[in-house]
Parts: sequence; C-alpha cells; structure tokens
Amino acid sequence: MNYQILDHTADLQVQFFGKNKKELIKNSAIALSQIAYEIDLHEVENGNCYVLNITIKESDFSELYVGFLREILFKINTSEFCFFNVEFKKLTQTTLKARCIYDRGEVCKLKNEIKAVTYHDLSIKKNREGWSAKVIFDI
Amino acid sequence: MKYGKYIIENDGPATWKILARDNMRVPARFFALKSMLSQIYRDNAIKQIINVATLPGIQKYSLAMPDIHYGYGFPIGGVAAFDVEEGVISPGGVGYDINCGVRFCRTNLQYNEVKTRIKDIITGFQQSVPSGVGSHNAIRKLNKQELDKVLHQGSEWAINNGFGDAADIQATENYGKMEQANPAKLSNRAKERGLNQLGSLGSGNHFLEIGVIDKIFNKKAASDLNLEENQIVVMIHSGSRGLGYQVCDDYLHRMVKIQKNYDFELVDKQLSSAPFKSNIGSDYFQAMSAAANYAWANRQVIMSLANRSLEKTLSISPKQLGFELIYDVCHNIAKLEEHDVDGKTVKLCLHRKGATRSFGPKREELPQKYRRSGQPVIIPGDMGTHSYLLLGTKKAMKQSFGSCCHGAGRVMSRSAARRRFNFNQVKNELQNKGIVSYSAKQKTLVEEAPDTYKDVNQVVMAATTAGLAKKVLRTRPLGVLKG
Repeated sequence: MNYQILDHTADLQVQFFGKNKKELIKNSAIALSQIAYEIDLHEVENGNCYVLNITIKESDFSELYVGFLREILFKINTSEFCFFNVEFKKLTQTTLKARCIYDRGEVCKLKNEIKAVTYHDLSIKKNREGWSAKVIFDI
Repeated sequence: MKYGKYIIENDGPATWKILARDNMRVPARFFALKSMLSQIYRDNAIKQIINVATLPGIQKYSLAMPDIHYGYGFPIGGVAAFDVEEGVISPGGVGYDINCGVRFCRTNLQYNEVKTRIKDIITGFQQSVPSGVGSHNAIRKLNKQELDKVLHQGSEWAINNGFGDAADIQATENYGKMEQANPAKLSNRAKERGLNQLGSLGSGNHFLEIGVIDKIFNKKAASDLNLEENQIVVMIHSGSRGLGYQVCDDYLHRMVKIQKNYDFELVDKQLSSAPFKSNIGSDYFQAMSAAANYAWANRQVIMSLANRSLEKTLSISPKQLGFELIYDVCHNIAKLEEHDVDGKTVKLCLHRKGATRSFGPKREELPQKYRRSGQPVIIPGDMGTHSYLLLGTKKAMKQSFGSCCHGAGRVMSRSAARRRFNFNQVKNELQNKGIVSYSAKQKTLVEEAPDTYKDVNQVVMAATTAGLAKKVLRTRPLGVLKG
C-alpha cells in the first residue's frame, strides 16, 4: 500500500509512503491520480506514455514536496493527466527535476475533485520502513 | 472548564469565551448550546480558533459560529476581523472556494400543485445545470475578454447577458459585485480554469434544491418577504469553481514564500498572511474580489437556468411561476466593513470562512428593502432535514461582527460516511421522507448523507439563542440535485 486515506471531518487527509524520498514523491503522484480517477494502476500502465517535465525550486524539502503536489494536482484537475511513473533527473532538499509519465483519455476521467494541497498539519517523516508524508487536501 | 491549558468560560446565552494566553492576541469566542460542546471539543476545531487569535491586527475576538468544525488553518465557521492599518489578510481565512454562497428564491407555486412533479423538476434541473466533478459548459465557453468582464462585473455581467433580472442585484449581498476586483491580479492558470465553468454547480456539498416552506416562526417578517407556508422555494449552493481555488492556491503559496519577511510568527503555515496594506496583501484582495464576482455571476447564471427549467418542466409562464430571488449570501470571503471596536468605528477586513454575514437593521450596506428588517440569513441543513431563513440582528453586530452560521456543519468524515452507509440506504431514507435526489455520482450522495451533519435545528437554536439572528421560517426539502 503506497498510501492510506485518514479520517478528516471536512476534507481529505492522505498518508503517502515510500522507501526513500524519490519513491515517496513518485507514489504521491500516482496515489493522487488513483484517488482522483478511482483507477487501478495497471489500467493505465499499458496505455499511452506522455511526459510532463517538472522543475521546482523551493527553500526546503517540505516546500518542494508541496510544490510538486500542487503541479500534479493542477494537471489532474485541468488536463486529466493520470500519472503512473516519475523519473528523477535531480532531487535535492531544494530542487526537483523530474519526468512525470502519464496517460490521458477515456480511462482518465475525473471522479473526485481534490481542490488543493494545504499546509495544515503537514508532516514528512523518516521512519524504519522509509518515508511517509501526511497531507490534508481541500475537497 | 478547561480545554488543555486553555480556560473556557460561559460568556452569555450559547456563548463561550476562551481566555487569551501565550501568543493569543485576543480571546476567542464561539457560539454553541451546552449539549453541542463535547462534539465540538472532539474534533480539534477549538485549537484552530485559538490559532487564528495569534494573527496580527485581530480585533476583539477570534470567533466561531455554531456550525464550527475542523478545517485547515481557520476552522469552518471561523470569523476574524483585522484592522486594515495594522492587520493582515489571509487567503487561508477565506478558503479555496472564494465566495461560495447560497441563494434563496421564492415562487408562486404551492406544494399541492407540484408534489407529483418533483422527479420531473429534478430531472429538468439535472439537464439544465451541469453538476459534479469538473462540471462545465453550462453556457458557451467565454473568451478572455469576456471573462475579464465577468471578473469586473459579477452578477451584472450575467444579467446583461440574459441571465436573470436587474432586480436580482438588489437581492444579492454586496449587490453581486466587489468594486475592488482587478482581473490583472489573477494568474493565467486561474483565468484558464474560469473560461468554461460559469453556470456549473461543481461537486461535493454544492446543490440545487427545491423545497417547501413548512413552518413560519415570524408571520410579519415572512409576509414582508412575500413568503408563506406551503410555498415552493429554490435554493442554490455554489461558488467560484476552479478559478477561485487557483486564486487561493497561487496567493497562499506566494505568502508562504515571503512569510519570513514579516515580523510575526505563524503557528500554522496555512494561516500565512500578509499585511493588508502590503503589495501582496492588496494584490490578493483584488484577485479575491474578482473571484468573488465570478462566483456571483456563477450563481446568477445557475439561478436563471433553474428558473427556465422550472417554466419548461411545468409548462407555465414566468408570471405564473413568479420566480424571485429573496437573497444571495456569501460564506467564504474577506470584505471591508466598519464595526464598533471599544466605542470607535473602525474599518476592518472581515474574514468569514464558512460563516454568513448577518447584518441587523440600519446598516448602509443593505438594500432599502432589508434596511429596516435586517438582512435575510440563509442556513441550509443537510439534504434530509430542514433549512432555515433568518434575519440579521443588532445584537449580531456586537457579538460576532454581524456574522452567523452558514449551514449545519459536518460531524463525520466522508470516508467514515462511506464505511457506515451505502447508496441504496441513503437513497431509500430520502425516498421514505419524500425527497427526490440526483447526484452525478452515487458516492456523493453517501458522503452527504443526512447523518454526516450536525442537527441543523440545534445549530440554528444556538445561533438564535446567542442572538446572532432571528428565525423567520423553515423549509423542508422535496428534491435535490447534488454536485
């Protein structure tokens, strides 16, 4: 399980997981696509591959992570991109350069509206299993 | 009583005060019946009112209305007033759905005339008003010049383009337009999102509902509003759609980036703010105002589409239908208002996030027809119970900067709702109450099940007990189109 939906009275709180930071970021993009389109990954993996290059520079890793999620959500909401892989060209605490692989078309129809990423109670942690991030989204 | 290290005192009927301590600049105040307290304490919303009390320039109290529940940054139901000279403006204090709001419309129809046609009416609504995730294309796609006009003119644009009547302007908060709107302060992304969504409901808790007035509490006030028992009414709940979300997201992110330049510490990044008089504070206010205008135009178009749909479904003339907007209130917004602070009239930037303006009599902002009575305050309940129409009071001006609750307030998360209920169960429960429901997605109906909300009757009782508004009438839903 790369993500888990947690209880939140009014909005959507999700915990994302990854063995390392790269995987955390990649799994977050895939999980947001899965939640937004209510889709299984294998439904798009064998489809078309399009590439979105994303470059983000921020002052720290949590800002970088939020910045990445904002870009992914924007494309999900406005262009119905369904992300199923992320390849990193560069990842530091403050810079992310990545090729985000997506499909689009009939299988990628928005089913759940995730309006925005919020900063409230945002936590990104390293533990024995790897990395996890808890994020509240406005829905 | 205590909430962690904070002391909470009773401060009048259905009124509670959290004493200021640590970095709180003012006390906090919230409105609730005693029986509602345990539920409010459970979901941590109290901590969010306390957090808001730490922001610079906040006046008198950090407030929360009786429908308070846990949000992000501000609680839902949060109200805060900031001095425009020394205070801040906070995108998170308005929320993503800028100028989300509710309309209440009357018709000449009586319950007996339409009780067998509710399904047809909801089908007509569903065919006329796009609803659900990413809904769009209610009207032709706007070009960029037209969108700028919408952002400048608000409701007026819709009326000039054949959606509604000039009289609707008099029945809309702020006359359906914020003068401070400046489309140049919106990003291309925000504008792009606004081009094809005008006239659409959106998803989640947004709705288009037909109901019947089932109880009158104040005959004179109801009669003055041209409303009576058994009369059919229509309510609309929607906002500024993707354009508004993008404005909030853009400016919140920009403010987070420059927060270190300001000499105040934030307890929550989602409360990132800028001085109202700063360049970015001013830019946000102008962009937010433009998004608010988009929302008013959106509700105006939706209302007009619903009006036409009713005429068509029932094959009656506009005169027979007698469709008329009673009032349009916004519940996610920041506005400049003058209020009394320590005996002086002060210009404030009022933030209402999940809270409705509830101005009492004699306020200049109100149209002539409501200046004697106070403004109509619309409190929709969940889709299975009641909604209320109230009037603003003089006491609300003192107690809550002229604010009241905006709905029932959620008590259960959407995922918990899905675990507890299923589609057929909710649909049947509504059917047993004689309510026709349509939702673009089955899941939405489950997530919006009546039991996921507080009891609106209790919430309204708390508001009226605290003197934030007075009851005029209650409606019962007959049919609802959910987002």
